[in-house]
Amino acid sequence: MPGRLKVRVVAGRELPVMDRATDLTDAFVEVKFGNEVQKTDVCKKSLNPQWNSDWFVFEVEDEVLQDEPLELRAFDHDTYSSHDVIGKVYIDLNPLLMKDGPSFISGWFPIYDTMHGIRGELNVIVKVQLFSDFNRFRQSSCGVQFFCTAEVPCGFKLQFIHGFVEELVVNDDPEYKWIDKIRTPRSSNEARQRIFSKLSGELQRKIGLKILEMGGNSVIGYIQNFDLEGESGIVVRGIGTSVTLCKIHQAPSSPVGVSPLKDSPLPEDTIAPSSPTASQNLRSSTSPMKVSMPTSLNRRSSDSDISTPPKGSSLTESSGSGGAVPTGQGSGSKSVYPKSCSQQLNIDLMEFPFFTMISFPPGFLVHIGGVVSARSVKLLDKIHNPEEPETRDAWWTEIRTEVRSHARAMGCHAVIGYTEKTSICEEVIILSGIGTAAKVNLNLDQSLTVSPYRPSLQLLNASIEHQLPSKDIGDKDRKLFVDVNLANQLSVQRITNMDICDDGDRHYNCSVCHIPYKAASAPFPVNLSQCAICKRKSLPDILFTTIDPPSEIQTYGRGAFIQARICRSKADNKGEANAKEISDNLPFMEYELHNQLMNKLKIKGMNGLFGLNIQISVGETKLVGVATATAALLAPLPIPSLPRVLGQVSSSEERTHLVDLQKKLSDKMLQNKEIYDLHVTDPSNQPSPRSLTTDESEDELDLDLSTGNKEAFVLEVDDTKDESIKSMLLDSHPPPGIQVCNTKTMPGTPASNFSFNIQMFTQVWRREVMFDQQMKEDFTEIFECLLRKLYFKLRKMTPCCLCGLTFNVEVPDEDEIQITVSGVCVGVQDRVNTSTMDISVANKSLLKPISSEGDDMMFQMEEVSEQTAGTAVTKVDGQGNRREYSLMSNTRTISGAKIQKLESHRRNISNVGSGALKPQRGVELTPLFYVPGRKIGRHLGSYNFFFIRESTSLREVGGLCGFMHNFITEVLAIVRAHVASLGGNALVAYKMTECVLLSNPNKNQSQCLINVCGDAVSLQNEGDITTAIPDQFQRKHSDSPLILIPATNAVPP
Amino acid sequence: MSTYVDVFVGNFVTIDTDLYDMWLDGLSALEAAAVLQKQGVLQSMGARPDVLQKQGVLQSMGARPAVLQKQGVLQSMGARPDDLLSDTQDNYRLFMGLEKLLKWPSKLANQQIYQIDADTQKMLIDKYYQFDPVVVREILGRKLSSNTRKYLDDVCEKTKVPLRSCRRQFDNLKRVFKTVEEMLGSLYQNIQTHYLISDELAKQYAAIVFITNHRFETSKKKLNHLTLDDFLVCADLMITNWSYSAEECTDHEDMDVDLDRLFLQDLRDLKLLVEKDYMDEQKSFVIQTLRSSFKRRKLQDLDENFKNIMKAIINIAYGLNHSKEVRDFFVDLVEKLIEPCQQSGWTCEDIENFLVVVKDAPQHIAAFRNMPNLNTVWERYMNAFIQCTVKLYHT
Repeated sequence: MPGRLKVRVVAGRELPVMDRATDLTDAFVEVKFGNEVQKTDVCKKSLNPQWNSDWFVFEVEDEVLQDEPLELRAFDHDTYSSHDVIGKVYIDLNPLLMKDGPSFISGWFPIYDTMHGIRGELNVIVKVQLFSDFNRFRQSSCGVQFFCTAEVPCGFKLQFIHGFVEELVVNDDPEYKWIDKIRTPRSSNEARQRIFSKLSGELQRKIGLKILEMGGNSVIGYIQNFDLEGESGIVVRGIGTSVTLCKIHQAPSSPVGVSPLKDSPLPEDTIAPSSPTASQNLRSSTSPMKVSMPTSLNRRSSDSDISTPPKGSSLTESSGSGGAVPTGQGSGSKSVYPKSCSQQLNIDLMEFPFFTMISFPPGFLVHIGGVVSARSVKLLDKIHNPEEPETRDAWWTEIRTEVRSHARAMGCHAVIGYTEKTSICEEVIILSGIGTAAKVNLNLDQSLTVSPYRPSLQLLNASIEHQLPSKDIGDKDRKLFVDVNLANQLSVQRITNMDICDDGDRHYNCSVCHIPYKAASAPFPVNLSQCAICKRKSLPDILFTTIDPPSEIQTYGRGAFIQARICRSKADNKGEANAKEISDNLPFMEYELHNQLMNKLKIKGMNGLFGLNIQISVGETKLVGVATATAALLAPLPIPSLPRVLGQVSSSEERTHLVDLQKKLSDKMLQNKEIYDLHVTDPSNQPSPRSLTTDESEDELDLDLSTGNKEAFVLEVDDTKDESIKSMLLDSHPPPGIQVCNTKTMPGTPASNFSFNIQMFTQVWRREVMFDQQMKEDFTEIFECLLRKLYFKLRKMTPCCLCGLTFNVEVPDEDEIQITVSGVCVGVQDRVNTSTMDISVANKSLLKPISSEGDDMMFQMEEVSEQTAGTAVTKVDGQGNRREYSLMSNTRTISGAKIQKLESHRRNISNVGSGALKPQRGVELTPLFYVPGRKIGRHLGSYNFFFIRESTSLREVGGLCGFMHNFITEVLAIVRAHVASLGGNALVAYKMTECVLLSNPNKNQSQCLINVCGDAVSLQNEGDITTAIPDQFQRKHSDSPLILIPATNAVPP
Repeated sequence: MSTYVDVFVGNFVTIDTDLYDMWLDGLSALEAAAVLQKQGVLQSMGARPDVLQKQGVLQSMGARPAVLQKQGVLQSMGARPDDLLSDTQDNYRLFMGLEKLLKWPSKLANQQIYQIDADTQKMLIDKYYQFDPVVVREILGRKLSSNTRKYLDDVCEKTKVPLRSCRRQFDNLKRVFKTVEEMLGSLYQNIQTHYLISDELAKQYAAIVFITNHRFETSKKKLNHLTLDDFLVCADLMITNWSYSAEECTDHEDMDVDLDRLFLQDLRDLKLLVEKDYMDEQKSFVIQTLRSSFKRRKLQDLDENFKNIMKAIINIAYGLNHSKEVRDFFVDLVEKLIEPCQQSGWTCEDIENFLVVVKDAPQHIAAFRNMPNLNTVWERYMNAFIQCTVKLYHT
């Protein structure tokens, strides 16, 4: 069924001079969609042309609307020769295909040319009229909403989770086609951009189809990756979590027509009997498992059974989905219960019970196991038939299967916070999948979401208690344990202990940390201890996860950024031998990374990791591994004891060394305790855990918990100069006033303390690195140095928190390392938490009281720090914050006298530059899923684009640094323009997924590819109704601003 | 060139004003970083180093003892000079990107490449168009040609302002000049609308453009003691009183850069004032009026020189008709009027009092009363003339 695409080209501005003779341009615009091209008139001799064109109409299939971007190309008209290209604008039409999306796209779009960058802007209006398609066999999936946001997006309520979706499409890379040898770099770049964009559209359409088939209406936690495999082509992969979302304050709606639940608060009663017996049969036949139903209210727990052949469940899913899950447009309208059933069965029926979200609605998490990962090394070969990319599919299936089996080995039936990565070097590719094994509760019906913390929760929350200590990341290790597994030991256990604190808005639940398996049958040797909160259940001594800190887990103090880095050299082999070497190296790398993480965690005095992200990159002669995470001290887990240094000593000198080391370690640990505010309130002071349910299987209590946990953490040192300890000591802290985490929220700092976004930043670092003997130290130093640079850069923003910090490490060339760091600097308002801020507090009283709150305080901070430095004289005047300008007085080398004059001259100019410390208005970009201090009013669609920039005059643009600086600046500018054109003023879940830089300085050339993505939203200020971006045109669909009611109060429809 | 990359890009443009100033002053990134380092930017990072030192952190941190020694241990907690330099370079790259836009400030508001709030934009523009009075003083009145640009080397040497900064100032002037040179309407307003600079700065630019356009001679030795401000104030007075935008000017069609042609023609009629009969009458009126305030010696002096002084005043007025003599306005004023008076020991007040009386004189002379036109011209001329003289009258 067709849709009508209408485009109007209104005007252009600041076009480049294309005609040297007149210093003007005769511009016109070609509007291209699919294969159809239409043109505007030529606007003669103007750099700010006004076309005011009529509507260009394209009648197209909706499938094409999803796949193809609208392409506008600006030209300079030439009567005699061919027209000169000014540049292009690509517009993704998918936001217009969304159900409640913007009704049109309109705004100034930067005209982008891959050789020259941004050259002026075009004002364009785009509309789409879509005729809904009810054909069951259609190829399009308009209306499925994509969210990069890896949680339930603000303003929506999660109705159903349908599970993991994945898709990949492949194509030839135009750069590697024969034609590339004869065409210009520009056309080659444009061909690539077009194909990237098209593949991305196609991928999303295909995923959309899968979602519709599953009965969902959205995908959240959508992650799209491009693998540039070189000769063998491009692979675009997408994974996400299929869900049915409904807007808060609206009747739950879903495109498949599932009618709103007749909300019985406890649907389990009805569901249990109605659940297809098939699955039960399947289970009982395949696994000797006892299903215990302790209370009538208890939903049959969906304990996963590791001995259940994966095949079985996947088969069930594929065959059963037709019947159990209502699919297709018209069919499901009345099937409320079957729908619910499918929900409940899902976790077992899902082929891959993976969830790409990293934070979850309350009640979703039951137990967290630990990190599970799988990697494999493959040799790339030519993709012969792009229509059927079986090999790539098969590779990923292997990875996922392995991850799943690891999870099951831990007694978990789900993997959360799941991501997939690749690293490619010539023909070798490393594929990896990583996630956190967990027990989850999918039955988040309204009653649950509404009052997740009422005691009734437990009744609903039936699940097996199982657990895994996340001690092992190395999948080799884990593999060993798979067999040992407690295959028949599944016992259904009720969650018994919920620690509920009714005070404040935080509700903790220690059971999330409890092991999901029986202590006696741990998959591998684990130190178990008693839960410090409920004192009943056992849990591991440390917990690694890939998710954001869940609100259920109570933490002490503040979180700390932790990173493990290793670099190994390898022989410059080819083909099979190369792959083998890499593959042999991997387990050791994983082990070493894990070890470093553990050591650093211990020395920080913490016991949990969130947001763990492990990246292994392969280069020609190097293997690089970086693990990044945010550490926290989890209340339920035992408090780490002081590490003891053990080593073989042969001389008294060595002995003193050892003693010295031990002392340094304990000093460091004490200091960390101070810095991260890890003062543990005596657990006995905690609100006593209310044992709200009866514990059926008390067997856990018989455990001898004294065995494992009393033992101190022991560091074995081979010689007194052991690097592992050195690196522990080397780890620097962020300077006072700056907190760092790689998660979306900072453990220990409530989101309400974040005042506003100060700055989203991207840092690209690349350098030739010659490693000698002390490779490890140098490699670590690179990262420390990058962090230091960051802190220094942001020194004027304190007190602040760097959130969502991501590191992307590549080994692009033999001796080169490229690191891309991005994150957002968020202002922290409540300085009570930043213990190190006392100087400022002291000083603040000396300063005049200042009218406005947050920003001014920041100002003082700056001043205070300068005063401390004893150089600049600063002064705050009564009205606010004009800082007197008094720099360089004596320090100027060139002309002291002149400066004095200048100074007086410039004194009048108020120092507005420091205005950075007020919330800025404009388009926000942030890797977080929220913008502190502001509310997300509306989601306007996801954005994903691949930019290519090339330069053949590298020196002239300021070298490689200048080139990269300009390119990133331009990319951000274009992204902002697109967000604004949708009526938005922020892009959340922003991510730069790819940053490939190729350069040949000797030829004065370089090329860079950047892929960015995120969710466009419109923000509202707290208590402010109008949106910051004025609507030039009336936005038809504009909803009345949503009033967000905390999920706990939401009224069931 | 290596493949070294180290860049930091933010979503919002934040300007480090100290660095921006240094950049405008023409310091290289290296120099600027060195200045900041001396100011202790690095130290300010590691607040509470004393505490940390006590805890033995610093020692254990010591990755590179040699470096530490050089910089003092305290710094190692915070940033290192490398980091400062890299930050400086990032800022410089940003400034260089912004410079393209700053050359045509109206573009800054329209562009989307850099996300800059309005206040910062204003600050950027104002500072960019700020100039060093000493530098502009050197090139004032010169043709803004490439020759003059070469001359900047000398200016740089003389004023000790870095060449880069001199060039920026020169280029700014030239650009502003070229933009408004041929434009109709108020000079000051044209500059403000096209360059979005503050009122005060726009006024200064208008004055400079005015002086440059008339190629006023300002570099004679005799004028060496005059500052840029002296000239700019005078030029501004000329613009407000004698140009097409003057209140008295009824015909606003022409450009502000030029003097009101009708007024200039009328000035010729002032010749009448130096005719002997009238002169005597004026002289007696002036001396009469000043008798109370002037000392005897000065009155005597005035008595002797009155004729010469009046001639000088009228000649300067008359000369405004001839472009060659217009150029010498300041030279003539200083040579013919100010210097003689200074030699006679007149104070600034004396000359002001005197000129005010001279201005009023014709009104009290019967012969002039029936020539109202002459009177208005005389007043229009004298209004600016008096203030200029006072401004330039350095004792």
